[in-house]
Amino acid sequence: MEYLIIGMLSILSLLITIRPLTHLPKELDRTDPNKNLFNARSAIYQEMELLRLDYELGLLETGQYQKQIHQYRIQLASILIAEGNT
Amino acid sequence: MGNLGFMTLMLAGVLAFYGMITSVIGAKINSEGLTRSATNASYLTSFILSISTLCLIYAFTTHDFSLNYVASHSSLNLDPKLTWVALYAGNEGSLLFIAWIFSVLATIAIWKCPILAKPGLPYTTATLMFILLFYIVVMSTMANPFEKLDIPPIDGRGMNPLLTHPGMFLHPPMLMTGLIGVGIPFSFGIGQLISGEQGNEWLIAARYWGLIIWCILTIGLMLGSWWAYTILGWGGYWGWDPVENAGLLPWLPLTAFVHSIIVQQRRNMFKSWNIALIIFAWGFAMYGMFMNRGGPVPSVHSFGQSTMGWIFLLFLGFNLIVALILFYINHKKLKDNSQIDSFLSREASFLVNNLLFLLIAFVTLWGVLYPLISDIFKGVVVTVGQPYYNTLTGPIFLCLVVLMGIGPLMPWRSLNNKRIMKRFITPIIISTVTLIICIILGINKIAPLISFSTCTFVLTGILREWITGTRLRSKRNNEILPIAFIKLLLSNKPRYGGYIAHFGVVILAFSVTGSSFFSLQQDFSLSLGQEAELGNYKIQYIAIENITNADNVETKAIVNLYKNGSFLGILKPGYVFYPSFNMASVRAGIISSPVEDFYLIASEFRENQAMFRIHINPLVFWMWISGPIFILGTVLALLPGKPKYSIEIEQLEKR
Repeated sequence: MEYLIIGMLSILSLLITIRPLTHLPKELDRTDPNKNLFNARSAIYQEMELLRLDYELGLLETGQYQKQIHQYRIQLASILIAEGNT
Repeated sequence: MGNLGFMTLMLAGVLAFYGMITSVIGAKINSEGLTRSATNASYLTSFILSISTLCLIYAFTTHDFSLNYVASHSSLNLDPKLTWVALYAGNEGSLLFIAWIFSVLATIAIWKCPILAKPGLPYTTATLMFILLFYIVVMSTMANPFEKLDIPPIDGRGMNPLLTHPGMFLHPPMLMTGLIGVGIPFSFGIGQLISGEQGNEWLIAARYWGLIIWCILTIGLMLGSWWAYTILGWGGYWGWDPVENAGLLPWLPLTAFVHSIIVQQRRNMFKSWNIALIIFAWGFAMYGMFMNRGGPVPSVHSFGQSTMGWIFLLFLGFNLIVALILFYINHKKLKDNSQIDSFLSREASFLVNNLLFLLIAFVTLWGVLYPLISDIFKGVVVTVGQPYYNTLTGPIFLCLVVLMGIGPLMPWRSLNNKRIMKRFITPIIISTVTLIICIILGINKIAPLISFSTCTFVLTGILREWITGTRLRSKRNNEILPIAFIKLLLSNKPRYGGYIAHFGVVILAFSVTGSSFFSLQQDFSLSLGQEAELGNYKIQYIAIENITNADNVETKAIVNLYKNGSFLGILKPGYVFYPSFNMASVRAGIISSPVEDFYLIASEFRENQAMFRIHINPLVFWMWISGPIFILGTVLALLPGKPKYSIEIEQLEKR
């Protein structure tokens, strides 16, 4: 019985392991670029919100806050352009 | 089941070897099929090792004494509930447990690998499989849990009595998982180094796994303290035992790592430093394995002792050499994009925090290695005891607590002096008031005065952050205060989870200070009917009780306990003697309250007389409360949310 089980497990392992070599999936692990862009965009909004909270808590100087917000806006613009292109 | 167990172990070894080789080849020749095949093989190792582990559990439940391991660590009288503990009660079984849990963690790590870390994933997989393969090879050649006996005994030897404690259901698995689990962020680091990426790709995975493993290791260490407190019978919770230290050592750089990774996320700094920290943590974790498996220093913990410590030492050496070579080759790619603007900034406080953690780690390591060094160079074994550790690490830990209060109040980059004063004024006032109150209450020792006021400083800093944030949020969004507070916590989970963990540290520091500086201890020899007093407590020795069980003999003193003249309860301190192990396990009588623990140990029982040791340990109760707070903080920090994409965005812009 033990030998039967190990034999079956070995065959199963072999099949699972070699399957990608014989049946390469057409759709590889590529994430939808639009989804990535959407995630990135919403994350920037969230970062901006956190930055504002940090600023209001006194964790950031006004200059730093404005500089950082400006950078986020630029990033946001580049994402919106990228989204428009896809 | 023994044959099936061993054969599945072999099959897992073949799969791990295949996964290791194929993932590297797949990455080198850019073959998607090969890397996927390697990934499948890696997934299978956890499935196959689960079967192997189940075989051993089954052997225990069916009392299959034809297996040497089962015969050595269980008996017919063994409580079925303890089967789980028996699984890792000895060297071979604990190795199997480690390999199994690592394979499970590795499977999850590969499966849930963030997109950014994908380029290095084949190398991460290869590293994970290499570590797993090492354990499987060790088991199959030197420590086979399925080794058969020529003549099976009728009954087994039974389990080590020190392991028959509720804490053992979780403490060893947590600690073993924590130690081996450091291999997960380490493998991501190595994957990053080999793939030659820019240094940020492993961040999300490293932070996530770093925190999970940190939490597991913390729980393991705390449960170990609880076990030591309740069963080792010396009245303390941390004895700086070599194996305790082996658990603490990786925890220290790992704690530094989970802090400094935030700086890399936020400021794109400390890239090489973070890789170095995780290499240190893994080195220390492997050192812990070496200590547990036949390290040269004896310990109360050496249940998994064997003569194969050297193989773990070789493995440790090999890992460190390869990691450091890779680190050296890639150090230019890991150059930071920005630098610390001011010493009065949050990133600077993180750096100091890291250095202090490493300092404690090296002080502890020196203490652990000193007996060996003195033996080699002077021919005399000089043991390093608690005073060395307490004297050297105590002040550094206190500095860390101070820093824990200062750090979160510091902004990123820099801050002008006016703002610093504004943020620090309330915590400074409150901690000064605490200092004055402590002096009025009669505390005249410097260290606890500093510690208590520091704790209040940190606590005030955290509360100030919460109160200010909640008010701002409530005002801005018209939310009621409790809702605003919850939303504040959820708005930045890593930060506020960190604050909750810091809150746990404050409670821990408060407890350690109380129990270290204000504890009382006295020995009494009492005859039946006699009384003894210490502090506000009085005990009366009423009777002696002997109970003979199947595999042990319990001897207990029945003692009445009074506080300020009022009856508190009956305590039954004593010990349990296990003839088959020629070993006694202490059972202390403990009455715990938030103010103090009354801790009673009875020994040297004679006809009408016994020796009693009374400990009054203030504030120990809070130590066990701090554990769940750590967990709560870590869970909050790990809760899924929208991840920080600043690095992804940078890459997106480059495209």
